[in-house]
Amino acid sequence: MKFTLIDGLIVLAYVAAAVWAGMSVRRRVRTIADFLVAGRRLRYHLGVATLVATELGLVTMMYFAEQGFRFGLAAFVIGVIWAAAYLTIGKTGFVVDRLRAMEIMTITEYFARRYGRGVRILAASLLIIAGILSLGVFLKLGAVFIVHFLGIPETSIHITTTVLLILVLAYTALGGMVSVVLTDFIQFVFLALGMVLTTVLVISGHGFPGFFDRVAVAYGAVGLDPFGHPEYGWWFIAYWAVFAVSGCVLWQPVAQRILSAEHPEINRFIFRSTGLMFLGRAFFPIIWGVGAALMFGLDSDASAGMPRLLAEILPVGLLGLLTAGMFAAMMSTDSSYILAWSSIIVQDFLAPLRRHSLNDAQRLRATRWSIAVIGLLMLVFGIWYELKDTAFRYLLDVTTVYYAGGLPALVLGLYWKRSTTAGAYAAFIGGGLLPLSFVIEDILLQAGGATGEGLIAGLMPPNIRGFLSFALGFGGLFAGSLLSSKTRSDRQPTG
Amino acid sequence: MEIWKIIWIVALVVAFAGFVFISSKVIWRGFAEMKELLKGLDE
Repeated sequence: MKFTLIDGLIVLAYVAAAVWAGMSVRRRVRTIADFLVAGRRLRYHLGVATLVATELGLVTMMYFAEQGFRFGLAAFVIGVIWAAAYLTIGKTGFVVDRLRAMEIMTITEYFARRYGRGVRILAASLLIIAGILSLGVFLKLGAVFIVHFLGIPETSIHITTTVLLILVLAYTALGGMVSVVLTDFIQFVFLALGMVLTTVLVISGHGFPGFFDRVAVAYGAVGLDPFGHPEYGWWFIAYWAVFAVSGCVLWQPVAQRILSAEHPEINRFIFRSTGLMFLGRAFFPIIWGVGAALMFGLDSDASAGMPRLLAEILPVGLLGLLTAGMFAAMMSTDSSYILAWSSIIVQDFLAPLRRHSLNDAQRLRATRWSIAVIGLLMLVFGIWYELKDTAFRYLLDVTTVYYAGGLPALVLGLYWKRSTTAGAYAAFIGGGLLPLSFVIEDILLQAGGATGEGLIAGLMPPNIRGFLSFALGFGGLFAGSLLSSKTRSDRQPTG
Repeated sequence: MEIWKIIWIVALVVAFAGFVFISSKVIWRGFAEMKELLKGLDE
């Protein structure tokens, strides 16, 4: 480990700047719209910075590197499909144009307008489950990175992550979306620079085309071929394609930026620019993971490989820059996600349940309390839960709980006049059935100390289970709408 | 296998160029937009 005083000063400078910037905007935040969607004043380049920074967390780099380490460059297919989804939406304005024009603050607000309060609460419940379970592994992966990258003893890791989490919670609770945008921008600068330089360094160790030859030798032909790789293949590609579209339009941290934009054309610009950047977002950490496997051997610890490699090869200064970037990535993604989910808990769950509407001050106070509760849950779940498969696979499973019903309810709600409230219920229940059963069974098995595979996991391979969940969501919406529209006229206008 | 090697080399070059180009533009112009955002909230 060659972490020097210079590297330490770079990291400290970043943490101090981010916390100061985040907290200094408190006096500017007056209304709930200022807090949750930055007063809807987000413009072109700042929009790109904040979206990329939010979706480029430490957790993202860890799970992409793990995919690269275990499955080789075939994992590039994940980035290609994700980038294609963003570029398509940026080009066509599919969903995002209509959503932004509605002037809402969360996607579940759309469900309330289109299908009613009950669907909104159901959607919010599934989204809260998906979000909290996702957030649970954020701290864990952050901890793995810090332990192996900085070479600190595992015993002090929980203290380090808890301190970081407290800092994040403080500036998120005080400044809301404006703090998040500011710190996202600072993170963007550090990370963009650090990622490019690190990737050049990893590849240059093997020579440019030579790197690809070494991958082919170490992993065999499937290390380059996503269609032939047993982890991916056609089922994965189909599942991931619908998942990626859902991620663009349904995932609250992304949606929050769609809804924060000054006008719909800015959304298209943000999606087009982000799409291209998302190729690098996936490719660079995958390359680091592959580089780690080539250096330490494919049979070594996959999740620890990337931080170990970076600690080994980065020179003084770049080590500090990337550490600051990684801390930044962790803090800004965690803060964005915590803000996103606290807004859902208050706007889409607590507020609709109350008979009297909440005023701005009450909503702000409730949002700040939700931020504290989410932070606590992250800490407890992050320390207790053990991942059985890769982090990427876990995140796919828990997020499909909401996406599989949310995508048909959102897309068909906007574009198919015959979709009904009953159809939306059927979509969320049908789509969430398989992934939710799988996740609950997995948690119960782990709580009971069992180590083997559960019943749901044994039913079918995970990629088929994921794709089938979306099929059940769409099937539920069509069947529910067609059946209910014959008996009652609860059709409402689209968008 | 050779075809995948070529596809990924091209994709990596595109990803690299795109990342560098857009991030430089965003860093350059984003700072001014950030100042405008804060000014707008102050008004």
